[in-house]
Amino acid sequence: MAELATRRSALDGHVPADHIGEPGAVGVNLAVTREVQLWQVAAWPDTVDAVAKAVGSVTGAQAPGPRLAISGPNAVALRVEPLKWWILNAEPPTVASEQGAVVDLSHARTQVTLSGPAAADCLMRHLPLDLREESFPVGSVASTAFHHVGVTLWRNDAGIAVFLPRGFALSLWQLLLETAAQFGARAQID
Amino acid sequence: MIRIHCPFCGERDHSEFAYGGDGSVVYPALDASAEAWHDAVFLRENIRGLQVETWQHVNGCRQWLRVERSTVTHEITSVQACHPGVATVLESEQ
Ligand SMILES: [Zn+2]
Repeated sequence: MAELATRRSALDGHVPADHIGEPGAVGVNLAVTREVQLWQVAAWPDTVDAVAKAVGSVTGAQAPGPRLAISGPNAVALRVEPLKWWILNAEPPTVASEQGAVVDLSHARTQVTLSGPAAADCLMRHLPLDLREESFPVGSVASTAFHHVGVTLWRNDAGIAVFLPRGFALSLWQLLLETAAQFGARAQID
Repeated sequence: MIRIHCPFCGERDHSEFAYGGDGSVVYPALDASAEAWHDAVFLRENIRGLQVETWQHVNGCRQWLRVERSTVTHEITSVQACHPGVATVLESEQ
């Protein structure tokens, strides 16, 4: 049973240990987060205020508005849709079923964080978004299409985090590695 | 290339959206005549000018949007959430 309970990333065994591509400087750093704890909290149009309060009670900060993430002392929340928040690496709030729904997405998404001077350039080879820091600053959240697959992005102090649907994670990861090679890259999982 | 200003996500590329159809059609009651249903499902004006359309921001916030677009210039003059409750939520947060 212990074997079943062990988390296994969709990218375990697919993270090269050596320098990737262009020799010399590292333009892009790709870091896979093995243990993501991710909760989706959804509201109805007329219960948004109540559910926003519940989200804020978990993070210890105001619930974020459209296109934003807000980090509180306890956790971070991302506003991913008009009626939905994501809470990262914390226990979810209690939401009555008349008010909304809480869903565990921990195993549904694979988190990869890109950093380094060419991180935005590397992603913009694939995404129809302007991810340069002046238009996508720290705290920004956006969902878009990556090779026809819906992904969610969040820029934080560590870089640009990309949440990939698990079933597509390996395929998108291979695309990312191939694209990152032209800038010189390193990858890690932890 | 069409860009749509999503009321949640901001201005986004056409590639993130899926086209719905004519947003002005009012569907008849379920027990309406076959002829009324035929007309609602199949008959469309071929508008030259401003047209009301539905688009889904499927690779974005996933909302259905009501878009007014010129079929001549592609100019988009208004975008709002189709769901009146969601539209109210988004207006209060602008
Ligand atoms: Zn949108």
